[in-house]
Amino acid sequence: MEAFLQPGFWVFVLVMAGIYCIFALGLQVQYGLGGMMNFGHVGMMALSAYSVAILVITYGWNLYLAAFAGVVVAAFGGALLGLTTIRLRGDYFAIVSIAFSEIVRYVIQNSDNFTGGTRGSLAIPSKTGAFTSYTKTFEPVLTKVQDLLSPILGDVVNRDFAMLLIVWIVAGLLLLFVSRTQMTSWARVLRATREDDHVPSALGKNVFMFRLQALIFGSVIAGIAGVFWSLQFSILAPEDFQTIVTFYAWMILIMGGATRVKGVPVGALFFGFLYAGTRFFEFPPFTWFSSSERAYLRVIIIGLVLIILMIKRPQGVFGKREEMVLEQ
Amino acid sequence: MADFIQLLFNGLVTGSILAIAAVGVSIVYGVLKLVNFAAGDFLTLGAFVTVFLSVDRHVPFVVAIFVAMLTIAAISVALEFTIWRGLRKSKAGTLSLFLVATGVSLIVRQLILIIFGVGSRKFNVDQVKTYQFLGAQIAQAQLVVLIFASATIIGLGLLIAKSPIGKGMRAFSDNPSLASVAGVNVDRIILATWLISGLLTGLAGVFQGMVQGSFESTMGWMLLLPIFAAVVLGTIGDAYGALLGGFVLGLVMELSTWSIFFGGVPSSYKPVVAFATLALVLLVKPEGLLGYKARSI
Amino acid sequence: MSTNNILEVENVSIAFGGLKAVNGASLTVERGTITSVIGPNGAGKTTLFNLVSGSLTADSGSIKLDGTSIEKLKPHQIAHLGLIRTFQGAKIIKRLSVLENIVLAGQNNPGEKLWRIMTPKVRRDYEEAAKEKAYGLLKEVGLESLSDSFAGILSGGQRKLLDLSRCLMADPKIMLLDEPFAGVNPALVERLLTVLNTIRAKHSLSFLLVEHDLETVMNISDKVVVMAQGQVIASGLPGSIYDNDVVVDAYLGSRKRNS
Repeated sequence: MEAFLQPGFWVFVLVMAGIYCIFALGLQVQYGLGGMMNFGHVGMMALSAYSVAILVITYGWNLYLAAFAGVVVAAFGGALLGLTTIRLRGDYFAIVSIAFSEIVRYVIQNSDNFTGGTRGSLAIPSKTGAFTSYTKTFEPVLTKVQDLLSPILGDVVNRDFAMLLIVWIVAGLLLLFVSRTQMTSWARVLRATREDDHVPSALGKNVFMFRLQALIFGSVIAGIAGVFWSLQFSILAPEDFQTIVTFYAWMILIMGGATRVKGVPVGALFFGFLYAGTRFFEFPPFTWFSSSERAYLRVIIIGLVLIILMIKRPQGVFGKREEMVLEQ
Repeated sequence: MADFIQLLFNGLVTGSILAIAAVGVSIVYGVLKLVNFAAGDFLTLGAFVTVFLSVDRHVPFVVAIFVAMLTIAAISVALEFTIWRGLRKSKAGTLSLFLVATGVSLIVRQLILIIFGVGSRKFNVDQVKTYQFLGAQIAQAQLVVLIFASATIIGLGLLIAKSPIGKGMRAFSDNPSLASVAGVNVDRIILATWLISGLLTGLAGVFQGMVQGSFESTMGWMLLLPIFAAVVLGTIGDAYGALLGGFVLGLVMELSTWSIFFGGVPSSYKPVVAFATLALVLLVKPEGLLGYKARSI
Repeated sequence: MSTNNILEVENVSIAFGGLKAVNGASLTVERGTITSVIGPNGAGKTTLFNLVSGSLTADSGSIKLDGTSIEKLKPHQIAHLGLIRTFQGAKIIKRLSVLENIVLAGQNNPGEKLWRIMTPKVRRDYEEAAKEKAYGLLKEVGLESLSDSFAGILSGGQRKLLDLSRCLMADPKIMLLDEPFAGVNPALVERLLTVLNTIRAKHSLSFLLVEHDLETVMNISDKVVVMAQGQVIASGLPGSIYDNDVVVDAYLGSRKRNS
């Protein structure tokens, strides 16, 4: 219960919410705008996070260059997924996209000499032979932010607090950028394709290209989330990138109302508190369970919330009901 | 040659399990247009209920299997009444159904962890006894699974082809409105679908557990993607296609590890092979092996 | 073949499985005229339409739009060349506003390129001009008061009108209308015919129509093409069709069976 009162814990929760906000924003572009049910979104985050770690540790790249490369790799992942599957019907696309992210995870898990395999990023072979942390050039940046802010804000400023600021500033900029793009004619064509393929193509729109662009755009955003994930945790493991992470992003998107960009940060915060808050269920009936069992209960509660949400209010907090119900 | 016989046999065993599970998923899609993400975890649940009854409570193995199958079927029917019926009535879209099914799958997996614990489990079956056949090692458990799975598949084929319920299910998947006009009892078809699908899923779980030897709570999820691949391969919603898809995929997965193919794929990559096969089929023949429907665009 | 043809379809065929849905059909549309394809259900009219607009690819034969071969092109490429089609039952985008439905049809919209987010002025200039033009088109069909409503609220007849103005927004050389009068009440048929005539005069357009019913298109068509069982069995002036024995047998005969 002590952690409940510690600001440090909530700062951590907010950092996670920020990363999830960016991650879910990618899905917003793909589904909210383009109507693509991507269930393999986490694959792009995994590609980007692992690219950062491998490029820095094995190849000795500069961290920022590696971060850029990570986003590019995620974009290529999106392009690969799109080129093979965009023509498929919605339910097929969903299944194949899950397969995509699971394949990414299998490959990461089984390429010991490249990704560190099941032992995670700590086991990535380093260029020098000695152990290297890939985040070491980033820590001074966080320290600098701390030094700047602690005179103003006092004790609350720590590493995570600096991270919190950086993550949410980037999230804010991305939110702004995405909501800008949603006012363009590009977005209008995508909204039309969400409802019907034939009309836009009969009007001269290359539906395939528009969808591909939206998928890559969303994957780039997932790649950015992956960069922050890698910076926040400094250790990566294949099981961090299970399909359940994509599912959390969907939950965020649905809570905020899938077609509203402004719903994404609200959904992310809500999810962050739900996910973290359930750690503090230290009263019956939860005390009947051991602490590891309570971790499972937490996922059950999240699953239940989503099911109830889908049954009672599929449009989320900001959405309109017909947005969800009128699907084909 | 011995290698080939071995892999062929392994492929048939894997294929028969995939086929049974794939039919369960495919009939649910055909009748309800629902992609059942929870199937993998129900499969695991079937294996865990069986191991709980037969190993921990000393119930005879065959009885335990039947109880486990009935348990899965009962839960599937219960979910129909509590969740799916309501969602259909409110005209929930593809995405809602997807997300709810994923939610159910998460909950089932966590419940397995809470109720049966984290460790891996084993059935009380002889894992060591093997037979020699043309130089291949054939485990007794595999042989038993193959025999009973084949019997199940033949029975299933007859059920779908001949029984009124099977005919109703096929009519309903082809054209729901026509079927209901023609006097097919929709509610009965739906219940029968869940019942059959639940029984098959539970059985597939036990078979997979027997073949694997020991299994954990993630067994079904690992198998779910190959199951989906089999379903799509055999044209989504087509029960016979799912049977065929299951066998094709089982054989492809096992034979891909054969060393004459560029040294063979490492066996940990078998699920990747399943999906590569699926991706290839989708690119060349997106409507599946038996599909006749035209492309949407 | 004179160069005065905007559309030349020559000997196209397509088979689905064993069924030859369109079997060696040929037709031409002269610039500035209305040509109507009629025939009983299953005659291959809509399939022919889908071949011309690129939704289907012909097994053999050639299709020329204003001299350019289009038989291998995709629907959006054909639309770019100036052939815009409608669909049966007027497919509108329900979740876009009436005005946006029309603006959507504008060609070469710079704002449809994602990188143009960097050049807001170019986007805005185009958008303003496009909206003005779209509003003008809405006025022509009398829907301007609904311009900001969601298109989903429109009645069936209003949807058909919206569909027509949307096609015009794309500045087509030729419009393909797929059963524009199907399921429409007689009063609205009159209105649609009037609108069509106005549009045709004002925008100097060519039309290819598919229609089940001969009488409806009699007065408006410059030429009628009769299809049956995947083949063109007759074509000519509307008046001449009634006197054609083959047509009477194949088409009018089957109409009796239908009714």
